[in-house]
Order: sequence, then C-alpha cells, then structure tokens
Amino acid sequence: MPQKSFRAALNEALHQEMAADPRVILMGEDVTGGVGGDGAADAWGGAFGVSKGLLGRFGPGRVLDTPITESAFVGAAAGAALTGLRPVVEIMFVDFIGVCLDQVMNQAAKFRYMFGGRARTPMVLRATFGGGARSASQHSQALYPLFTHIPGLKVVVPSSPADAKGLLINAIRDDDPVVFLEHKMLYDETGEVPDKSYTVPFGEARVVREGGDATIVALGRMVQRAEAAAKVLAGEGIQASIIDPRTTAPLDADTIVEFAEETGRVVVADESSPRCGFAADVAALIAEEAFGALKAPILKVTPPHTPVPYAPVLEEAYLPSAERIADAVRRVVRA
Amino acid sequence: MRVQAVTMPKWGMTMTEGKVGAWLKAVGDPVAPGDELLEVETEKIANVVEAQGSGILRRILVQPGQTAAVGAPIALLADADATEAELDAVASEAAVAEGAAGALRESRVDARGLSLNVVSAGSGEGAPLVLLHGWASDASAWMFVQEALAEGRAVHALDLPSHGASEVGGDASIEALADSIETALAKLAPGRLHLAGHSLGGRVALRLAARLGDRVASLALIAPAGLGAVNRGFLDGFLLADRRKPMKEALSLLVADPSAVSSDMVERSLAAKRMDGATQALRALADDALAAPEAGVEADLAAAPAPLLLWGAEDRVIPPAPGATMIEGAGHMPHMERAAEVAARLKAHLEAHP
Amino acid sequence: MQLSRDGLLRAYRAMRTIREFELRVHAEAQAGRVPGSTHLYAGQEAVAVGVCMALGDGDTIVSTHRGHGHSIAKGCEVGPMMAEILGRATGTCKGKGGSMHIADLSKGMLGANGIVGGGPPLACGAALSAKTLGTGAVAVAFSGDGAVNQGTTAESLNLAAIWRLPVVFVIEDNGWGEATSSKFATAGSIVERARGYGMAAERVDGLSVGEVFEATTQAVARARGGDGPTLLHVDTERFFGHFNGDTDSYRSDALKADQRANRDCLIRLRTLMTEGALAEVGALDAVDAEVAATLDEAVEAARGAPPPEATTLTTDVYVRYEGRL
Repeated sequence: MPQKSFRAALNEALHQEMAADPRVILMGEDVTGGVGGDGAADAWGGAFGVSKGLLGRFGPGRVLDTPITESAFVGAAAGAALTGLRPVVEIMFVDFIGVCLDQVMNQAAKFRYMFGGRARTPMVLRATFGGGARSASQHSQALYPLFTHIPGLKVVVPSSPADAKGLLINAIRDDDPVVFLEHKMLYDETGEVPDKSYTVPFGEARVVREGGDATIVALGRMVQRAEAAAKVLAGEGIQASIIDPRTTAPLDADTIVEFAEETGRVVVADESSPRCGFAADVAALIAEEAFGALKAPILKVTPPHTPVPYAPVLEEAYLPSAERIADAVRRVVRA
Repeated sequence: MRVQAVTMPKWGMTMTEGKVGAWLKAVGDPVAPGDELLEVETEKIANVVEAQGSGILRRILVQPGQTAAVGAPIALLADADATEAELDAVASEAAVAEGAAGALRESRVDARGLSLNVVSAGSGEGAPLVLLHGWASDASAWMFVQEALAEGRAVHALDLPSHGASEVGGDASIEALADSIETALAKLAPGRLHLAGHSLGGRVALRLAARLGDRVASLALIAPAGLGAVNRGFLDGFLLADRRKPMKEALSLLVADPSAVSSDMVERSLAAKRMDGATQALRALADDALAAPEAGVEADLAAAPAPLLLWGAEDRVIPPAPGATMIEGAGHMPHMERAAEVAARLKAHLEAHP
Repeated sequence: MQLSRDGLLRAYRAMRTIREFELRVHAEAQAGRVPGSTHLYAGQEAVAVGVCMALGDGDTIVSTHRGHGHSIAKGCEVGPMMAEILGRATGTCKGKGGSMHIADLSKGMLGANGIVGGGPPLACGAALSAKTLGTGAVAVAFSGDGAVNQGTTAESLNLAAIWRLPVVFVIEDNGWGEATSSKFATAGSIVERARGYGMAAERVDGLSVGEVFEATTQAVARARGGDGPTLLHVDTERFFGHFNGDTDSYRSDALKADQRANRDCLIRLRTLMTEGALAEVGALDAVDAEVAATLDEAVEAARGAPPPEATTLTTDVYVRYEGRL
C-alpha cells in the first residue's frame, strides 16, 4: 500500500469528494493563494498545503479564497449548507474561532434542533490545532473540548494519515456540522493510505495496541507519544493497550469502558487544557461506568493550565511527553 | 570490535528509510567520532551523518542515490589490518538480517477495463505462479507463503475485482471473475503458469484451469468454494458486522483458534468493507458467485489438471471435501494458520509439475 | 415597478395579518401564556410585506429576533407560528425553537435569529448557494438598525461586494436598538457605509409599502442580473417596546401617540387605497374581519394544542448520531 503524508491524505480526500459531488465547495483564507496577484495561481494551496491542486481541477467557483473575515465566511458556510451546498470551510488556526464562534456555536450547531428537525447543515469546519511549532499562545491551542461541549456539532481529531483521509471523506458526506481538527505537527507524518475512496466512521475508536496491564486513551498527536511510551514500557514488562477515540463527538464510550474494565488501570493522554478538558470527560465516564473494575485512580496526562509558551524548552515541558505518559502508566500499575 | 557497521540512522518517529546523498569520506580515509561521513535525505529532511566509531572507512555498501532501510548497514569502519574476509562476514550478516525484509512489488494490470492490483515476488525461469485469494480477503492473505514460493519463479498475488486495491466493478458471477482474471493473465503470465486459489478464488482458479488447458502447469486449491456448501452464516455475519465486536465474532469463524483474530485483522476487515462500493460488491458476490458455486464443478475438474487439494481440518466456513489433504490445527485459512506446512506442500506441488 | 391595485390589496391583507398576529401575541404574552420573550413587529409591516412581495418562492430571507412579520410575509402559516410561540408540538419548529427561531425552509424562510447580526453572513451563504448552483435565487438579510454596528454586518457587506453575491441587505431602522436610539449608536450614514463598499444603496420610506416594493424590486433585479448586492436603509416605526417585558419608558407617551396617529403604515395604505379609489372602505373592512377571524382560530387552536412529548427533548440534535448523546 502506498505511503502518504497526513497532508497528502487530506488533499486526496478533498480531491475525491469534490470530484464525486459538485455541491462540495472549499473556502478559506489562501486555500489557493495568489488570487489577484500577477504571479502563480494556487501559490500556496492552503496555508499548510492541504488544498493544492484543487483550484486547477475544480475552478474558482468551487475553491474560494476569502478575505480575513471569519465571521462572514464561516456564517456564509452555514447559510450555504442550509440551502443546498456542502461547504468545507477552513479557519487557519482553531485559535481564530474566537472571531467566529457564534456562527458555529449558535447558528450551525443549533439549526436542526431549533427548527424542529426541519433543517440540516452539512458543513465541515476544518482547522489546524496543537503545539510543537513554537507558534505561541494564540496559534497553538487544542480547543476540541470547546466544540465537544456544544450539542449539535461533531468533532473529529485524526491521528494518522489513513484515518485522516477516511474521516474527512466521512465528514464531507455527513449531513451534520463537523469540526475537523488537524494537528499541525502531524502534516508531515507518513503512513499507509489506500488510493481508493473510503470512509472511517465517527464514534468508533481505533485499538492502536492491545496489552493487558494498563489502558492509555490518547487523542491526536498524543497517540504517537503513547506508542513511544508503550514501547518503552514493553521493555519493562508492562503491556499497555492504546485506544484512540478519533472523534470526541460522537465518542466511542463503549470501547473506552471495555478496555478500562479489562485492565482496571487507565491513563488518559490529552493535549487540551486540564480544566474541563477531554481527559476530564473521559475520566468521568470511566469512573462512572467502570468503577468496580478500577484498581487504581485514573491518571490524566495533560499540559498544565497555562497558555502555550513560546520558548522551545518551555513548550516541550508544556506538551505531554512519551516519558510522562510512561511514568503515569508505571504509577497506575504499581498502585 | 575490529569491524563496525555504519547503519542508516532513524530521524524522527516515522522514518523508515533514507537515501544516500554524497559520501564525504572516501574508502581508505581515517574516521574519528564526530567526523561527517555522508549526506542522507528522507522525505522530510536532508542531513549529514556523523561517525560514531573510529577506524578507517574500509567499505561503502550503499552508493549515492541508493536507498537503505533504517538500521541497514551502509558502510564498514575497521582497523587497517582487518581482512577482507572479516569485512565480508560482517557485511553479509547484516545484509541477511536486512534482506529478509524482502522485496514485494506492487503493480497494476488491466482486466476488461478494471484496474487490478498485483503483489509480486521473485523472478526466474520457472513458470509463474498466480495466487487468487478468497471472498472479502486480498493479496496479503498470501503474505506468509508468497516469498517461500518465489524461488526461481515470479509469484503474483492478485487483488480480485472489488477487493484490496483493485477497482470496484464487474459482475458478481464465477464466470465474470474468471473472465477478468483471464484478461489480466494475458499480461501477467501469458505463457505457461501455475494457478492456486483459496475459497472463492479457488473456484475461480478451477474455472480458469479448465479454460486454459495446457497453459496450466499445476493447480492447487485451498478450501475451494464449490466442493462443499459455503456457510452462509459466515457471509451474513461478515456483511452485517459494522463495528469491532461483531466483526471479531464474524472473523472467529474463519480460524481454528479464535484468539488468533487480532485487533489488526478486525481493523483491516472493517476498513476493507468501508472502501467505496466494497460492501455492495461483497454482497453481490455472496448472492451470485457463492450462492451455487458447485455448478459446473464436475466439468471443470474433468478439464483441469488434477489439483492439489488442501483443507484445514477445522474449517467452519466450507466443510472439508473427501480426498483433500487435511492440514491439522487450521480452520478456513490454512495458508495463514499453518503457513509453513502449506508453503511446503505447495512448493512440492509446483516442483513436481514444472 | 409599482404595485398594482391587486398587489396593493394583497399587501394590505398581508400587513393586516401581521398586525393582528402581533396584537394577539401581545395579548397572549400579557396573559402569561407565552413561555418566553416576544419582540413585536407591529408598525413595521410595510417593510416585510413590501420586500417579500418583490421575491419569488425560490428566494430566501433571513430574519432577526423580531421575525414574526418577515415569516408571515414570506408565506409561513399563522397557525403553526402561533403554536410555536406558545411552545406547542404543532408549532413550526415543533415547539423546540420558540419565537426567535421560527423557520420554514420550504418557504425560503431561513429562520428568525436570536443573535444580533447573525443573519447577514447566513444570507451571504444562501446567495453563494444560489450563485454556485445557478438557481438564480436571491437572498435577503433583514437586520435592525442595532445590527448595523455588529462586526458581522460589516464583514458581510464586504464579502457580498467582493464576491458580487445576489443578496439584498434590508436595514430596518425603527429608531431604537433595544432601549438605545439609533442616532446615538450609529456614526455616520448607513447608506454611505454601504457605498463605501462599492455597493448600491438607498434610503427608503418604510411606511410606504409601495416604495419598499419598488426599491426591493430594483435591488432584486440587480442581484439576479449578476450585478451584486444592494443595501436598503428603510425607516420604520416600532409600536411596542423592545420585548414584552419592556415598559418602553425611554420613549415618551407623546411620541408613541404620534406614531399611532400619524405614522401607521396600515392607515397610510388604507388611506392611499380608499382616497385613490383603488378600494372601497367596505372591502378593506371585510379583509380586516376575515383576518381577525383567521387569527382568532389560530390562537384558539394553539391554546388547545399539546406541548411536545418529553421524548422530543433529545431528538433532532443531529441528522444521525453514531453514539450516545
């Protein structure tokens, strides 16, 4: 099977879905790049190169560069979704949700419910997230808990190229509003990705690794760190399972609880802030539904409750490392 | 240590191989720890490899422009007085460990307008062997036997239409499958060939062997459909299984030891079903090709070379036919469950009918 | 294009329907039968009706928190609307939305909106759909004078202008953003702001349904012809307070009396038609009576309708959800 980068996998998903359905359009800042200039068209193909080649293939009527005007164009995506298009709208960094949260939270998320089931909003909001690029406080957050908290949204956080492609195809085909978050440090990661078009369902966790001594629930970039931790732990005779939920809404609660019950020792590795974050949500779920099977308290491995710092030494300390994950597993195993 | 191998480094989590750029030292140059030895490029970065040991650069194993896997030996450092024989020994030891990773090649072949994926190993004078997998499987089903069979011949494992990386399409009858594969064979193995098939692929192989007459040097069938009733419950269970647990249950019917069904197998089966059009195609095959595969079997058996008939003793998908060679401890997938034994028997069969 | 005699008659009926609807909502609210807040459109009828009469069935509108008038003008049925306001299962939104979220996509009514400034971006989206799918449809964004200073409005004007979207921005200036006068809140001229985006814009007397109709007709033709958006700054009158609990003490009794006596768009239309020999007084009275009867029925039906079933609390959050809510 061919090896492709996370970025290439997303690009493929966009190409395939735009080819399959003329109602799918892409909009965002610099999704082509070069509009109005006298140089090359499609100069960027997206701030992170995810949308390269789409302009040439589908034309400016379907691949729209926007001004820096999130509240208008994210709102336009919601309005367009209500009236027959299937827009994929991109905000460059999830941190920019601040200027257009109403359009997502109060409009897109709520149309179906408020209008008594008589509307559907098939839009996908794509955004990059996460730390590690030294992009500092306003360009490095992991805000999926914000969206998970809002009823009416689906929230997707892929961890691998193969999952990224299938989940994005699924998101575009989904009739509900989907927030699709791409970790900026994963774009260059490669993995096996089928050439053909396929879906990965929402609400189904991936069992990345099976091991009977402990369960690590990990999301996004934390999956690779959990894998590194598991490798080290295996050398110490500790076998850890790794569960990647892939979507926080809907959440595959059944699989998480199943593996929590099987090992009785759980660590949740999550890049979002510890207060009201994803790790807290998963821990509460397990505490309620697998209480009897627990042999140790559930440990959360998250950043501290601070903004994301700039200096590399600080950012590295901020982000949960493989070693901190391994350490947490050692502690639940020894408890 | 008199001879040290310089190996391809690993830069970052996902690097699996690197391409050698330029060598910065020549054979015969002294090398001290920290010296820049060569430039290496990966998909993401280009960088310089520094020496970790010391000695004379005695041999360069991988030339500029060539690629080596992470951990593979790319040069040898040794004292001036290490002999060629000593260098040879270290080089070949490291190469064996490396070479076992094998060289499988993927290619595409046209089959009546459908593009099929082919996984090939080996080459040589012997008539090529074509392997046809079963329903809902793909070429990787042969992964434990393919290379063992590839001594002195090419072995081509096809993804059947609508399976694996092959295009989705084509009619769902045995006849239509045979037509497709026959077209593919015109490119892949235009002369004399060996055929082997499993389950649905076995039935198709039998039909093909009957058609192709003298071209077929030998035929091997592993639990072929048509020589026993197919367990419809397995097909339905697999078709309905949309999540991990039901899929694990469905797959457990395939093997003698249910604990052998790994998370990975489950994931890959679910992923295969989720390829666009795949599930519909599988359903169509279940309702057509696998509905009455015994039709025409007698005539095909009469026209084809006498097949090697292998069957897992504990097959719960298609009960073993009388006269089959039983593979103990295996269910419906003996080429995965008892790979070494199956490979040996297939190999013997190939060699007996060159 | 002017309203024909027939058109004026239809306009009258629609405006009267809105007026009577709002009076009844007011009565229900005063009697404590409306669970939440209501924002009454009485006094502004000529705007909703004048605009919507210039639209076709395929065209869309987005509205504001003060949306009953727009809904009725666009063709939503008064029975389900009244039921929705009373929180009944037979409501337009099955009782799940309430007054501020009344919507009927089948009529091109993309929803009243509880967020000031929420509408304009949505209208840009509806216009983008029309343009991309080649339907020839036009989108209208109703906004109040209060929304004009919201960032979303400015952004939408710019986006509509650069993309030449088939959208008409109707700014209904009733002089008051809640309890703050628009003169205080708004710097400069709204029309000039729009023209600053290179957009066609004009100021319209919102008390004349004919003028509103004409201005909208031109704007719609411009949009459908591919020549982009228009902004209409329409002056109108809000008869009641901002919402049902508003004592409206920031407006003097003299002002309010003057509104009712001299700046009622329904009286103006009636006068125009009777004095212009376009309709008999009796005919208009008959319309009034019919409308009153229809509305009485709607209220009665709504009062008698059941509330939503408890199970509907958790339905229709998603089209399909692969997990537990």
